Amino acid sequence: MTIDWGIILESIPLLAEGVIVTLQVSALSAVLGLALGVALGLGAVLSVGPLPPMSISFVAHRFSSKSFWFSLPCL
Amino acid sequence: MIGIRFDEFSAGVVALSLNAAAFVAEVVRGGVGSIERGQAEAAKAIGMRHRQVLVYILLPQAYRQMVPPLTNELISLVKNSSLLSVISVYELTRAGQAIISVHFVPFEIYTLLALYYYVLIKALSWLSVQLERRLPTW
Repeated sequence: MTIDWGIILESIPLLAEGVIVTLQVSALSAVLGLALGVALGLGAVLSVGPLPPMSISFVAHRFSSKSFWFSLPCL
Repeated sequence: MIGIRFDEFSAGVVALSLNAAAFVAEVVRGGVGSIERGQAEAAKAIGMRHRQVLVYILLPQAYRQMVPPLTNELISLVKNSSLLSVISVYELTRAGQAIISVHFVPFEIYTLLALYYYVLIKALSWLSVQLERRLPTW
């Protein structure tokens, strides 16, 4: 088997464009996910208003859904 | 179906955010729950309200414990972003697939992709270690 180094070198800048998008997606998702997650987490801890049942049901559904467990091997 | 149209980038960000939010919520809940009950009881004994106990007593102690699992979540977020290649977001995996479809060299490109992901995640791990070192200890 021969490794084509030319294509590898040629691909590095093309993949770097993908890295930028990956970092953008990750950073945006981290900020939004952190904000929502902290609100949901504190909502579950605080026993005030409609937030606790909403947040508990969201998190519980997230962890108990079959599609989530079936998709784990794909990750 | 619900009349709202997202472009693929926004849809991917929303999906990943909702996914991460559930994990972050569990981290926050677990972090606050890990502080011994006596702390909250002592704060209530001096007349603090529930929210004050949370903001001034529990959260300042809990956030140090939350940082390692939160950085883990950030790392898995970077890895999960590869799933967005399925909805044609031009991120790292999609870029690799596009190159493979032109040159038909999957071994080289996927090895290069693995290297890129390794470097990204190693950098994030290093940053998280630096952050943990800077946090105050009680």
